Amino acid sequence: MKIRNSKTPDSLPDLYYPLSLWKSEIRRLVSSQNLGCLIQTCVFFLMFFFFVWLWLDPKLIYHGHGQSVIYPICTSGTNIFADFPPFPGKVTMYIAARLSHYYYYSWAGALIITVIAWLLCVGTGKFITTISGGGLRWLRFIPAIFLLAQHGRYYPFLLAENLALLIVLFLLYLYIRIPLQAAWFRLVVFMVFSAVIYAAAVRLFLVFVLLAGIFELFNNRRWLVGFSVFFSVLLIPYLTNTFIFDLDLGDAYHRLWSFPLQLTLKEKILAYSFFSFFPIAGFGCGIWRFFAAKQKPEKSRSGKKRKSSKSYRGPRTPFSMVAGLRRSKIKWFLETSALLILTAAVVGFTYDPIARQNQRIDYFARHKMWDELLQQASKPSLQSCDMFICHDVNRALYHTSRLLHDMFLYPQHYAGLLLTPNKRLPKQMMVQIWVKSSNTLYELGHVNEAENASYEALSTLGYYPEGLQRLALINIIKGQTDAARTFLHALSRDFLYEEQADQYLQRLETDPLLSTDDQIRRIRSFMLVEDSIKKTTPKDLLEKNKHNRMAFEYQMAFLLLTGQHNAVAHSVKYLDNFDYPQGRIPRHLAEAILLYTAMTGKKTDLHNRRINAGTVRRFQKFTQLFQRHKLDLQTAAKTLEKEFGDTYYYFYFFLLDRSELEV
Amino acid sequence: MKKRLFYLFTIIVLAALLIGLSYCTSSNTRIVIEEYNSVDRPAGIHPDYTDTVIPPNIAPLNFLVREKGARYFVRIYSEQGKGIDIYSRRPSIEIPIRRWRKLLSTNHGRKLFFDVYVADDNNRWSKFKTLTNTIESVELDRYLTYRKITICVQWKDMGIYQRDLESYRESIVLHNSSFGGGCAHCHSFLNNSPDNMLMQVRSSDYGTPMLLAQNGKVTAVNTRTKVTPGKVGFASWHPNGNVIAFSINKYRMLYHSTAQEIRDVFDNAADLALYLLDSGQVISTGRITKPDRMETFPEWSRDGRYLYFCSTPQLPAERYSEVRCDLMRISYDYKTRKWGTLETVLSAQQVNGSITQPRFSPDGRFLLFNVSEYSDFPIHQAKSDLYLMDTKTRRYRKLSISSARCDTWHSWSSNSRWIAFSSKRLDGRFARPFFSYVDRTGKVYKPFVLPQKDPAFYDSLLRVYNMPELIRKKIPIKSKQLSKAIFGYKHAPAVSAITGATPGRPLPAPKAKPPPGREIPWEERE
Repeated sequence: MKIRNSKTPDSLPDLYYPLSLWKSEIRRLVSSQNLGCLIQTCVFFLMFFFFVWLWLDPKLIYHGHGQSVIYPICTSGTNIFADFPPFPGKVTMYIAARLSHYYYYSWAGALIITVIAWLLCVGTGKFITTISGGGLRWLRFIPAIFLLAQHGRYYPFLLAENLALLIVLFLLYLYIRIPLQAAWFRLVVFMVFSAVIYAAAVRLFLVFVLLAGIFELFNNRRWLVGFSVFFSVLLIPYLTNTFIFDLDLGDAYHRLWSFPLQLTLKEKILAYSFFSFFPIAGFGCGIWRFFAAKQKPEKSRSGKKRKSSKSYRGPRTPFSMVAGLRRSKIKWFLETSALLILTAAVVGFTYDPIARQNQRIDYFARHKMWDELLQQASKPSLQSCDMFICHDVNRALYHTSRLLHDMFLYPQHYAGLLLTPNKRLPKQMMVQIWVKSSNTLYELGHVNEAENASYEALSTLGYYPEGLQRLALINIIKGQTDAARTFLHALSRDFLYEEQADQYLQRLETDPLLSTDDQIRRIRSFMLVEDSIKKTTPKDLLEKNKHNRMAFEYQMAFLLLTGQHNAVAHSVKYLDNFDYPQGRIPRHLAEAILLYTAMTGKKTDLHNRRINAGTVRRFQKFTQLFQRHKLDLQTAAKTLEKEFGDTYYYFYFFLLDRSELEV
Repeated sequence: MKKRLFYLFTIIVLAALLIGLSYCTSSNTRIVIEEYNSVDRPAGIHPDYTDTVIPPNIAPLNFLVREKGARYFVRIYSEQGKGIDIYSRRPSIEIPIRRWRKLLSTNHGRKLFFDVYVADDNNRWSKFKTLTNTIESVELDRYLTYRKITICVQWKDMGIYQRDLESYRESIVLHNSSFGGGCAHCHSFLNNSPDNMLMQVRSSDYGTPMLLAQNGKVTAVNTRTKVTPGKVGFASWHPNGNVIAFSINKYRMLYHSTAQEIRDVFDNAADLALYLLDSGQVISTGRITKPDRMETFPEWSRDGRYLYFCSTPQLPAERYSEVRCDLMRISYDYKTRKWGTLETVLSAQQVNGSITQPRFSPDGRFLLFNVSEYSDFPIHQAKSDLYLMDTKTRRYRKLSISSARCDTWHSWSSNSRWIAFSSKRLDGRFARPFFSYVDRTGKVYKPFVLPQKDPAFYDSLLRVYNMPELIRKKIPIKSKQLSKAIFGYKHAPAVSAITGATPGRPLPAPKAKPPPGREIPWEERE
């Protein structure tokens, strides 16, 4: 029985563990070196798990602006992609779709990410050990670090690709372990494996081919097999496409390296670095082994014992064992510290706090946690002009009755109010626009527009639960209970929303129009009556129901964002339709009126309301300072920002982008 | 050794218990209900398979019993042969397919009965009034092709599928993911046979080919000429199989602010033309390409002498609700390639609505068409009805099977005894495929929905079924062949347009205005 210790020369007799195989395996595992390795791995992944769970918070990824998770995802159904013809990568997409649901619970999501990272670590370790001949094992942690970096940026996550990587490493392990060495046999196995990988995990096909090729070249020194493996890059997509898939041939090759998700350049670099790490590491290890082997004295052909290698330090004595233990402890400590420092450095470098902030805001918006949202959005160092964030912030401000008082406390975006599609916005933003605008349009009473946006989001994103719920409610509001039931039945197939859907279905049995539901009644009262194919605005809603406060505030906010303070000045009379404090005017409206009066010299009819004296004083002070700096607007903007940055007139003079308005 | 024997024995006992338990709970268990209360009403079942006429070759009509209970028992029987007993702890009744087929095949023309029993928690059984259907002796074409699509304009998930009506097997004919997204639509067949199939494709990557599948081969036809610059919409095969009439439609989506149906389709321009298969040419006449009118939904009469179509004055989009199509026809002589005069068969005024989608029964006896309040695209209407015209007498009537919701996209079986159509009657939103029996006198019987293995299938399905077309056998063309033809479309030679007349919009200004109806040569496509 030989001990499988890479540091023990092959020629050594069975000095320590002349027992049965499994016992020796256990002893090998608990040997000081492996135990240290095990503890190191456990410490790393325990920290990994808690970091992902408590800091990265996978539930943020689940919601992630509606673009992170692969929906449909009605989990109790059968094959969610049954209606699709076979396409490369369908299997991993399917598994990822199933798993991504569990991101709803942060701990479960963290567990999934950790398990994937750990399996990647094991797979990488096996490969690295094989190629390098025992050294450079510490490289196995690199994929886990990449995974942390990937999740730390909260970009559309690559769960399907990460799972594909696992399949690649598993099949690669099997390929390496094939006992037969005949070239033709290895090639046949390789072809079968690579066809499987192309079909199941297309985007990692190249990685598999490169790793298998590197193994054949550096380990087996089989040049023919190695180069044949590389050649298969051209062959396999063609063959699988001929016999299994019906893709355009260009598309069949294009899928090898293209990601389906929209990534920024930085994210693409990170993603491609991650996946190219494996072939680069494999190649590096191969080279390392090549040179290491050259430096080692070759075993004599006569069968004489070769000189002891560096790692073998002679027969173990109690003294040398203690010394070895001490050395290995220090080494372990240094290695572990280096690993943790490296991880912290990479995560620290790649971590995107603004992305996290945005994800949190999105999460709070979806759960209508308005106070938390505003608290999150008010962190000055993380404030962004992202139009989706502005949209959520404005919605939160409305729901906390602060929109017309505090909207300029936060950054504003010209399209951030209703997320109106704009020619200048990139196409990939459309999904998010549909998802978010459907909520706002629904609350406003633009029921048909909300329905349309929900349908488009649903068809692009998949059957995401929020969209199904929205469509169910819209159909109830419109009196189409049967259609609402269809959406609720679809929703009930998602185990996370099953209970909620069943509750609605039960309520519909007794009250098909949910006429006792306050929210439904309120929105029904806001709905337009006269049909039109023209684009409608909050103003139309206000004409239909003068008590639609959200329509009023959004209309006013729109006027402010587009610099139309003259129209604002003429809208004071509408304040009487709502429960604003008697005699008062909301701050931003007051500021707009003051500006209007100052710019035109015309007086505004305030309808027995008055402008707060403090607001007037502030405006007067702003006017004086503005006059002083008006020749240099940049200096004026900087000087006045601290004191007047939260006012309408500051926004009007320094932040309003008139070129955007023209668009 | 003793220990091992003990474990083995335990495993065997447990396995036996499990097998026994599963046998007891299986639906095939023979049970005898000795006492029951009679309920003087039929049990509610879903989908509604009662008082319908069903074909002898339809897949089992699995259904849900919509009565509260702890156990369910259904006996399905007819006048001859052994009945089928189904016992279930769930309200879902799934009928064994072999026994169902046997029962139907031995009872052509007879009644089919469903006895529904429901037991409460105290094992007290109630028997509801027997549900009755009729098994017709005339078979339904075995396959149904349709387009399944989500409600949207993004076309991310859309495909043409075919379903074996004798079982639940569904297969993909062409899915748009095969060609990078886009629209696959308007499939049509010559005489209900998949040997001659036509399909339209709209793809931003690969263009807008008309896929022509004949005798196992697929060709992507480029129908675009200078005067037919638009995309092909609807098509109809001439009965001789040598001519295809097609419409070129320039659709635009409209969005309603309050209507039940949020979307509407408006035709900015529509003209008709013929594609001659033998010469590979496109021809037309000024009488069916009038710039001031839209001509769409071509349909050949069964004798091949007339081209029927729908026509309406061209209006601006703001007047979308005034679009009302007349049913018209024009004679055409295939041999001499001569066009006759235009005739109005039935005006929109007569039916007080817009006439669309005329479809002749294969025996030529009946013309089935659609009437909606307005529009030349009825699927987006909250309500549209099916009408039947007797071609001998030209008398027409609204079919009593029309629902209060949208019924459209109808087609005939090859024996003219069955119709298939899409209807939104189940929930008002999602169109599902329905079948109705039509007897020789033109009486149309209560429709039933396409049966599914899971009786609750439609309850949560968010896709709609468009254009159900009945065909006699499975489409022999593979999806790969179709997508390959699409990929090669860029290299497809343009057809030549040899004759024609005043083309639809956009028009190249003619040098000299020809007299109405006089044909002028079309220019070759560049």
